Amino acid sequence: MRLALYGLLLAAGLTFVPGPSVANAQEATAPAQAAAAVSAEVIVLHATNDGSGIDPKIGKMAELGKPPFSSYNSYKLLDRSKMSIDKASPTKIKLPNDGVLMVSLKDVISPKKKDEQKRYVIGASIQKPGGNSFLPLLEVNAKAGETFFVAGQNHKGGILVIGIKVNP
Amino acid sequence: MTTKSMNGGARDPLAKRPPTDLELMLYADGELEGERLREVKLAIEKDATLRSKLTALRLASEIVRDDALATEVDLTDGIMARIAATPDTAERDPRDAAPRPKAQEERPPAKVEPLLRPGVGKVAAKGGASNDNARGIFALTAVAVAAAAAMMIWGRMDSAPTRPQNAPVAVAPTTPETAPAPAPVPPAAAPAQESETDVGVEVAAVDFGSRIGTIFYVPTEAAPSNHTTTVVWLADDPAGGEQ
Repeated sequence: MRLALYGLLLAAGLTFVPGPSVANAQEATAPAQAAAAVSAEVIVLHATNDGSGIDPKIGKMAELGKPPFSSYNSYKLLDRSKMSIDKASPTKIKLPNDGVLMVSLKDVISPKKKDEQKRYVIGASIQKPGGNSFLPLLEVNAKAGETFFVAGQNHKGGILVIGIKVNP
Repeated sequence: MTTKSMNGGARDPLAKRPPTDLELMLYADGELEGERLREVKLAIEKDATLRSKLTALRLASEIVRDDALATEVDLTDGIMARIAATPDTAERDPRDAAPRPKAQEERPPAKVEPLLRPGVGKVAAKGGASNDNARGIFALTAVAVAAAAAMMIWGRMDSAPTRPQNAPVAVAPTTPETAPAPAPVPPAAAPAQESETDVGVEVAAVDFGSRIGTIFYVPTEAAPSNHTTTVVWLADDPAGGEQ
């Protein structure tokens, strides 16, 4: 009788413990399913030293006046596009130099604290015309609204500067 | 087993036999039945010795019954008390003769008290056992709660992201001065300002391939916030000047 009582108590104690693997799987999959696709924005700038200054279409972007961007004195907006990126397959964007930028959503990380935003793991790679890889792999962890840049491809006397941002 | 008499009637050989002590006890306890009861009853009426035996048996039975109901005899406590009171005459080991500490010598002799109080012995014993049982349940509950807490902590540890948030950023060999890139070389003052800044976008993984690349964290307009913009800057010419 006593043994039965002990067993019952132990079983009750263990029943209230959430199974770690199941609970974690639920926590991890729920936000990922909720954000299976996110909206992103890609801007393509042409950096030169032709003295034309910064294109007003670019908007307010203080970084362009600071190193390493300040090594070029002129920036022109070549393209601005919005797209949806998801985990299923990378989104391809054709670049002005006929290269291809591929952007994909790798993961969505739930915030640890209430006042924090969720973070998105974004994958990017660039292929040059002819199939050579300019940037084989870049994986970043960004909050919505934060822009990161990939720069350096030669293009018409300057370089291409690509900005990628996850829209809120 | 029966034998037949000359006139053909059945006759029990025990009919003439005087009752034994066992039969007298059975009679006294009212457990004798049938023909033998009647015969023993007749024998007792005729024999004064049997009557006195029967009276003695009944008296002894009453005494035993009354004593059993009145008190419970606790032989253990009595024996222990007698052992404690008896001087120890057993042969001792010579080492026991060593002088004992004073405090031990002055200690009063152990007092043996019965654990069971007369009349309420059973109840007291039951109360103690019940208390022990409750203690055991509390202890087991505490163990179960501790195990639950440990498993919960373990579960939380397991749910932490496998890749550390502040993992060191992989930076490819950064020697812009030696790079044969035709593009203007970015100034070396800005690279990799990782410390004490709020890195907006964290680079989790990067593969520059055969090119030379650098990761910059450029301060944004709001300088007091220490927020930075992440820039991955590559030289378009592969390292070594290969095309």
